[in-house]
Amino acid sequence: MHGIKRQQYSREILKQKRIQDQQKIKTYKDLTHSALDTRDKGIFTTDALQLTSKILELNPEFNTIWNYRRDIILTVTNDVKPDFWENELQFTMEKLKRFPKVYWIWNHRIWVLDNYPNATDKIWLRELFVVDKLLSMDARNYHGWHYRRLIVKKLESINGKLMDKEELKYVTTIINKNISNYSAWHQRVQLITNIFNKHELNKKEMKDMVLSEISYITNAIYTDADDQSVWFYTNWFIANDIVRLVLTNDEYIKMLKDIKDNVILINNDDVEFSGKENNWCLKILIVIEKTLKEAGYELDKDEHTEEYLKKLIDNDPQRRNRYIYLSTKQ
Amino acid sequence: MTELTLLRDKHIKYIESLDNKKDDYEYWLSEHLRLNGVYWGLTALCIMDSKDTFKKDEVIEFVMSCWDLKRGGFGPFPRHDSHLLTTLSAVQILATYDSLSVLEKDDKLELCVQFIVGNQLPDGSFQGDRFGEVDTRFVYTALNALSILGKLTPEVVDPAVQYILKCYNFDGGFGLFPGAESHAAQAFTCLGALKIANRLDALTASQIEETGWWLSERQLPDGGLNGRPSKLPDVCYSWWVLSSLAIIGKLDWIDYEGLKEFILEAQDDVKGGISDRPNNEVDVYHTIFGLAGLSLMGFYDLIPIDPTYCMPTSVTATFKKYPYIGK
Amino acid sequence: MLSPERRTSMAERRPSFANFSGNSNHIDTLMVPHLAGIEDPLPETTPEKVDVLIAGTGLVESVLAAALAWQGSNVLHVDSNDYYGDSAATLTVDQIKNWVNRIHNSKNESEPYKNAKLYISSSNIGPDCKYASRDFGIDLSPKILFAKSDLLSILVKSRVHQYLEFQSLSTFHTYENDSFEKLTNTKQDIFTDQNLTLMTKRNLMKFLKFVLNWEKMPEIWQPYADKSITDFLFNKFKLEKPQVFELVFSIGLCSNMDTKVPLALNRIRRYLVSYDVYGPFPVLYSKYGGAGEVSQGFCRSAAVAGATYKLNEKLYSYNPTTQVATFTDGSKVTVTEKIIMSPTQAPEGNKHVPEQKYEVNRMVCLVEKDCKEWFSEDESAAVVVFPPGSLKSGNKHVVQTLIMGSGSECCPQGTSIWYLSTTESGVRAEMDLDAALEALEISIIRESSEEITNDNDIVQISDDGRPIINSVRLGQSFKEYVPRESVQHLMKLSYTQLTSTPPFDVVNPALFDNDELNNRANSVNKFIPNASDNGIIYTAMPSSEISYDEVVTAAKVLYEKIVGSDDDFFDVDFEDDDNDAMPTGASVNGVINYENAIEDDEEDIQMGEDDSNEFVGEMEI
Repeated sequence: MHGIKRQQYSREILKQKRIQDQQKIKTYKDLTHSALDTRDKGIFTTDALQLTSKILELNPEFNTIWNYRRDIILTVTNDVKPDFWENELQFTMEKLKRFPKVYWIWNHRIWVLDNYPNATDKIWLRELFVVDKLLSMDARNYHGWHYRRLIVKKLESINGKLMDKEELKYVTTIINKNISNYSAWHQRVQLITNIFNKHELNKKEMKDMVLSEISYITNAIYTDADDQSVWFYTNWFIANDIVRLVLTNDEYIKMLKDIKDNVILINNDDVEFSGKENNWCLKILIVIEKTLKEAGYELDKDEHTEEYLKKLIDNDPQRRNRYIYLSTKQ
Repeated sequence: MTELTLLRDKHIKYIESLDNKKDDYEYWLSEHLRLNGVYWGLTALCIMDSKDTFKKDEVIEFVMSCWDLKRGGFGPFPRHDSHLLTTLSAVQILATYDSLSVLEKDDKLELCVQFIVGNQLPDGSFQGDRFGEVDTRFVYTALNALSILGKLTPEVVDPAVQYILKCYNFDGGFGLFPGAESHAAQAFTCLGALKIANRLDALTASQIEETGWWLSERQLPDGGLNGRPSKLPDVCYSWWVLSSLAIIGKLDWIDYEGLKEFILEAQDDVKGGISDRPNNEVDVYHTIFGLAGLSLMGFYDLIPIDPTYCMPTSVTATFKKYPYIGK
Repeated sequence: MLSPERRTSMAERRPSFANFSGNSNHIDTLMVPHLAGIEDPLPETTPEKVDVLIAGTGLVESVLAAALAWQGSNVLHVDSNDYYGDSAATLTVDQIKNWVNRIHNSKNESEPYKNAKLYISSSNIGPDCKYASRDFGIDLSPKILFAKSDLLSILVKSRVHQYLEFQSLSTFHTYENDSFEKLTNTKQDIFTDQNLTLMTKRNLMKFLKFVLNWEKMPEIWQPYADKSITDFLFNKFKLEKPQVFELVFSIGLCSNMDTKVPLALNRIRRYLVSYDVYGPFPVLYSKYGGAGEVSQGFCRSAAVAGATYKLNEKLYSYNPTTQVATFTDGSKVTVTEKIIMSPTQAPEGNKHVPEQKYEVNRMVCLVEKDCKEWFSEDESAAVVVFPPGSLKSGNKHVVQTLIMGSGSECCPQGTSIWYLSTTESGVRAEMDLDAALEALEISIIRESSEEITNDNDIVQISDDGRPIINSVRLGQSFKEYVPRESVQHLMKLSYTQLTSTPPFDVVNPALFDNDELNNRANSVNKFIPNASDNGIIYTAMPSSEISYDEVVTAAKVLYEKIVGSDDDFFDVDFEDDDNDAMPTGASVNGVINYENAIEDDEEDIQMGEDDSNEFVGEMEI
């Protein structure tokens, strides 16, 4: 069971639980049977809707009942009061607060919004606040992030205006709060890619953006050189097409060398401090050397990939076979 | 400290006991997972070479009672709606018992294929059922089930492959949707789907190396594997990560001994079963994936498991390989 | 009889637990009846025989009384004062007046308080004045509670926390270069701070990670085991002075530059692991009064468990042979086990009170300024630390300051209480405290001045359009600012408190040893003819420690002396615990949901120590 501590219960407690469970089981089974019966009789009324509410209250993962609920809504939709759809959103919100990781609930909420009659951008904008709130409770909930991307896409198409820049600001605040938030770094990759591909930036804007990104990364690797989020992002950034396009080859090589110098400095500092090399520094140095060569820069005597791999085989034994593979590939 | 070992007999007893919990409220609250649970339990038993612990006839009868008369496909429990996830479980159970022929009655095979294919969307993705939830899990479940049934077609496979490729991320992992964050379980579903489609070559060698790197970084100092960076380890990733590595031929990019210890420590030495992490409550889900991980690494002479299908290789060897040649 | 001149007690504020609002759970009503009892305790007769007599209702004594009472001992808990709290009391202005008089007139050779000086603005406080004496609750031992600490665990375990209301305190200022610097102590602060160099960021982060698990990395600290923490931080971690001072004095709350590495590392970690336990703050304090409230809470708990309470009861003498304790009012009680006594309660003619060789010099000011400039939003308290050498007096020791605003319900709107303390002694202490007070005054006038907040340079507009007031800038830009107004003091109290506990250390268990081997003059077993206190064990006076950290340790040591072991210290078995133990949700059955299965619902890895998800109950914060 995810995250639930194993316990030994006394016989007495288990017996008491059994007794309590009998009543609960009866209630639950009665409700379930009567809901499935009305469904099979083709009854799609607001009364039946109430019945599904009761069951979903007890078990929010009962997909069949969610389906029945949606069929009912589609049937009664013309007869319901205007606040019906608001109440339906409210209903899923209560569930999400209690079960923020249940797929079925997120799915239902999206379905409700998609079917919301005359949904204006206000409705979707409000969803952005909702998802802000949910992500502020758990900034790694990937349902939340997925939902956020869906909402933004919707708003962009309604308003005919791209929101990547605003979203990048949001993601930056999330990363600033915790630079180990991999979900936010992931989203940063999506947004920066979008900004370059879809927005009409002039050359200077592009270059400024790349430069400010370099200093952001540098700041991050100095702040926490043990965090894989930052390193995976760096790994992407130094070799992606955008950077290669925006910078001249000389500038690109200079950038790589600057990052390389910083990484070496950090690694040396770790050695001085603890006598141990920083494995992530070594892993990235290998990537940088490879990227430098691909950019046409001759490393010659400065090439240390072989040596880094040897060190990693010893210092990072869990992944030693990967390093052996890479060194045979050399 | 005594050396840890696999508590095979206890795990068999534990799985056997799962259906004797009808006095527990939770048993009824989990009806919507019952068919998946049967698949997990049966496969776990197969891995421990104890397939006969379940009564074949009863299991097949239960599977067939989950058939959705209205829409085709299988639900998790009698009278529940069919869904791709549970349809795959049903097909897997039937294949494991070499009983796919029961589908021939009343055109069920055809209806089942129609149900699955009918949920494919124009962009190649699949929705789980008619209400539109899209997720790479469903691409995998659809291709897997169709593959077991021998009913893959280029019309289904080609767009599905294109869709999977859109879910490949900058870090080498895969997300549930284009643009979604990499997650080890999605690596399994995406690589598994490509493998079933015989289209791993749609990824370049260096893309696959990136995938292998990202997956190998899931191992934590305590030997356990996590699903995403900065998360705690969990036994179920023994399967999601390991099977993914196995599919791309890089199984040894993590440390077996450490992972084995982590899985064994998560065993309940009183009532059997395996949990997500040491000292947590066990369940059949973590039990199967812990065992499947140990099998993939070749420990304890467990029955070999197929990393693509999560079924015994003896069963999957009988599946027709796609593309079908010389029909 | 309780003094009529006193602050309302917790039971008077919330007369019935059944009615009080808030989210505390219903169990309170069942298990912890409210205790109007101790408002008017007074069994007219003293019990004939008890297991343990405890004299003094200070913190350690109260925790001990509750622990013993719940363990099943028959406890008589007395106090010679007409209020609860003793050395930890929360007093009104008039009560402070009486307290100062009592110290001046004390005939106790071992009186632990001296040099008490008091100024009261009689035109502002008193009948028909702007403020009433009872508007203020002044702590004799101001304390803050770390969110992860042994006392907090005990508060929860014993459910005493349900008597109390806690508020958060997140602002710790370090006074440096004549200005207040706010701490840079979270990963976010470090990452986003524009003023730190990259290398400083790295070193700071490295240290923060190290300190959380420092014991496991002996290769790093052992070479410095006997060195000072400042030496360690400068040389091993290459940190700059502002960061070192912040870590050592504000986060670690150490007393001087020479604090040894292991002790200081523990103190720094204490702060860091407490951060974010209940929210983005490291410490809490109890509303309505600090240590006074907490000790009162434990007395209540003890009373629920059957302890008898008497105020105005002072021991006259004890005869260890007959086991009879005689009080000054002539009543007697037979004590079968032990007598535990605070030095404040020692009978005349005592000879066993341990030597109180350490000084804590304290100053308390009631100030007519709300000081909200120093608090975080929605908070009402702050800590200000003056590191060595930061004051005009050239202080060698730290001056620690706890500022309490009116939101703490310890003082009226528009006022605040400033608690200053130092481990420096004698005249130097006086100079340091005066210098710190002056620095505080200048700073608050600067920061609260209207003309300043209008300055554009100080109020900046953030990206999302909110104004941000830059407190650091405030201090720096207006260094030359000459205040035209002055701070109105409503009351100013200074006193020296003596203690046997060395500064910034926890109580020494040897203090309570009663074996002859110890060969101390005051050894408990040593019979001194004509002494009125043969056979009595004295507790330690509160130390200079600003947190509650010594309290549980001291109470446990004494508990073990009496019971024989501390295994069942607050091993309280509330009858309704069964409900908590009942398996709930899907935790019994072996089925999992597939959603969660493919999803990772595991927790994030936390930086730092193994995460113990200890259930801490509902806190009113």
